[in-house]
Amino acid sequence: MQIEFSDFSFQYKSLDKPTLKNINLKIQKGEKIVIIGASGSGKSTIGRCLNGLIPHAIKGQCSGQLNIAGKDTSRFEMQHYTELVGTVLQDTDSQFVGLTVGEDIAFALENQCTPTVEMYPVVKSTAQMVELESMLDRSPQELSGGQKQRVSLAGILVDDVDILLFDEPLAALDPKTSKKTIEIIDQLHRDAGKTIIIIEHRLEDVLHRDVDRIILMAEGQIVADMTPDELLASSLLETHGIREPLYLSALKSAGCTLNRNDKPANLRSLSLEQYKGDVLDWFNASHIDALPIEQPALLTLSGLTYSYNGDVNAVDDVSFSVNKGEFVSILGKNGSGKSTLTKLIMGVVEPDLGKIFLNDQDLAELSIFERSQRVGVVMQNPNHMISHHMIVDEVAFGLRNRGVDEKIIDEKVMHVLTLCGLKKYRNWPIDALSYGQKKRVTIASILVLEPELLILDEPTAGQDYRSYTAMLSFIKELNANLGITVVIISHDMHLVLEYTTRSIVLSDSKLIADAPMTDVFSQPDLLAKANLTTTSLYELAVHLGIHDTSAFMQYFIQTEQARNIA
Amino acid sequence: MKAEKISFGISYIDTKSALHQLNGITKFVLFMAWVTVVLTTFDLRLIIALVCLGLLLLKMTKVPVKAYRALLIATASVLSLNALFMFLLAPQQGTEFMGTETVLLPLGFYSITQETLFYLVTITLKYFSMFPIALVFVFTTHPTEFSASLNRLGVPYKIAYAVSLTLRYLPEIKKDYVNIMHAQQARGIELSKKASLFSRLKNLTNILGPLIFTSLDRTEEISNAMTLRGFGRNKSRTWYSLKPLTGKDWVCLLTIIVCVSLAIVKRVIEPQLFWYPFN
Repeated sequence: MQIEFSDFSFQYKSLDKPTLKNINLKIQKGEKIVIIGASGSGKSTIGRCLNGLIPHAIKGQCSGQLNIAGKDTSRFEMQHYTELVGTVLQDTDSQFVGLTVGEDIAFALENQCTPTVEMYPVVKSTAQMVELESMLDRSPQELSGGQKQRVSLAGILVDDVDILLFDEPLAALDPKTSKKTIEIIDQLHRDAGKTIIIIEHRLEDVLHRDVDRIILMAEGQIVADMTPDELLASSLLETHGIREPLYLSALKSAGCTLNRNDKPANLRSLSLEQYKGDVLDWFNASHIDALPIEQPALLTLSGLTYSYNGDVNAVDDVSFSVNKGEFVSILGKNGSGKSTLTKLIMGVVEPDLGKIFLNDQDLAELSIFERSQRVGVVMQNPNHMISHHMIVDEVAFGLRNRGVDEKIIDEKVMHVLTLCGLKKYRNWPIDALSYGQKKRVTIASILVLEPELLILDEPTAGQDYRSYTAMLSFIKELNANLGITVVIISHDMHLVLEYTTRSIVLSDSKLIADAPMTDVFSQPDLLAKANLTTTSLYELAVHLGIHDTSAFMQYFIQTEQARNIA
Repeated sequence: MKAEKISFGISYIDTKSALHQLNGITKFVLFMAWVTVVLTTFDLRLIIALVCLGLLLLKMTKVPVKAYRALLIATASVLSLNALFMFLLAPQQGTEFMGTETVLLPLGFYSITQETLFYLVTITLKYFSMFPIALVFVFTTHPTEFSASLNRLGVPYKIAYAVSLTLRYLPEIKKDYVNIMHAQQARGIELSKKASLFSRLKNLTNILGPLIFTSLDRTEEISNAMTLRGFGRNKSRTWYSLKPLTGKDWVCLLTIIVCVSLAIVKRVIEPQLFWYPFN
């Protein structure tokens, strides 16, 4: 037995309740396991127990037993863990310690006092395993997301450990890179016979390649330990707030019942013939709601160009407009110019060429602060926005700067806190909140200013399905009821599919598409240019021989939304 | 305040020049020796020679002048301002050192004397002469190689590594800073000249707070990542980027030792602290 938890519990020093309760789990050598669960379910804590951060770097109360490779870990030093378990952490950017790829890969060897001459061949052969041998002298920061992931993987593989632990490896990656990462992990599992443990809540992406078992966690306990087919045929995912694969949701919408023998874990293995009738009946009976009448433009960008260094344009001749009351998405891979666009709209950088209009007013006439009253931008990292101790002060800050009367401020702040579901926390210090709650505070602090346009940069980053669904349904409501125009910048395909009606796609600083979302999602070549992939919904439609994939997706979303409202 | 386009940065730039080929230890020793020589001397001839040599070395790094021109100008202006203040505080310092008084422009207490001018020029150039070599060091020494060299010279590796990590994370912190600044500006924090100095300082705390917290979070992540890869398990460690000293390095080191010794000897045997040719 490679790993064995018996009656294992753990409580963080700073918390008053245990995070892991009586865990019993066995993992065999060479198995490939996925641990899923909502935020706070304890899945990351299990990972930390496996790699020794608990109890060596993070303090708390342990009870029960954990054996790794047949040895009791209670007598382990940190280095015993390091020799057995290699960990790839969530945020690759923050774990690069070396200034070149080669140096970063060699880090573990350096710490073991391997002589410098002996390091070079080992580093080189490890780099070859992940196809990085030509980049040893580059800085890890200059690489693309997928290459960074491979560097951190190589940094672990150089040690020749038997167990590889991946802590939310897909969190920061675009869909195409995610797929590639899952393929590399699968290859390591098959070729090198490593035991693989993946902690992730993006289940559909992980299941791109087969896994042996899925462990579902909730509130510190294991609620399911079964094969992917069994789990997906059950209703456990829905009960525990995990996003189920899109094709399954679609099949269920069409009234199909799934059985574990049908192998629902993967669209490729699922025999679709038996459902074809049901799905086609469902789709043929569909009627697509007429699109709402086009409203006048709120935000118009014309010929916008900006370059950071004068050589390469970060935004190159981009023109589009966003109409009043729309819910639009901007898509593109890292470095395609999405964030620069936001900065230009905020006014923190000025365009080299081109103009931005809001309701026919040239934004260049307004200061940053004046713009912010009308265009609210919620940045990706809430820690960059929050500057106060108490939630109330944080939310009231913008209004106070505007010089609004305290009494009115109080009213407005209370109203917006109620809307955002933060009312009961209003007198809490912000440090006590989770990442998702902090994100909500930042949204509240923007909404209180009553902007006409709301821009959300990667709203789902760092949040699980349940909490971001709650947040976005709320924004959707604001969009529908108050007519606030919303733009989201994201590479989360599910999010874009579920909420936005039109997509603007950027690639290499240029606008390459501006079309209804379902049209964009029906063009694999276009998506590939932006490092995106088609969704399984589209693939399902193709497999079933449906030509109008766009209408199919649209009808599915319509039914989902009707179901959510009900 | 609109963010300006910043194209230069003070960091390692690999131009593969002859200076880049030298070992980190050699360059570090050169830098320390340089500082020592500058500190021991008040001889304008030597100082001017050092300034010229420093600028020549800077040119040899093949780093485009564009990358450091702004910095050179800024340093020169700060130093000139410094000279002005020195004059305002002690207008007769030069006369005291040289022991003579040659008034060029009689202004009572603030009379400008030839000695004071000479004194101020010497001091300003003396400070300035350290600047090009510092840039040379930063541009040509890979930060980890520098840490490895420090470790080789006897500094404990955890401290040496902290130095390279700081250099490694400076750009990230800069990025955070810009993001936070943008977020706060959008919320009405005025950082431009429109606001008074006091409120600008107060507003700066709105950026520093989040910056410190973000950096602390990052520190924790990095430290966990390093622990997981075995940092700190042994009393010593080896370095991937440590290069052996070559013949060229030894030649340089030897020259440096000779030069430093000569400078010290010069300081000891010379009776006069300042070199002043007009006596």
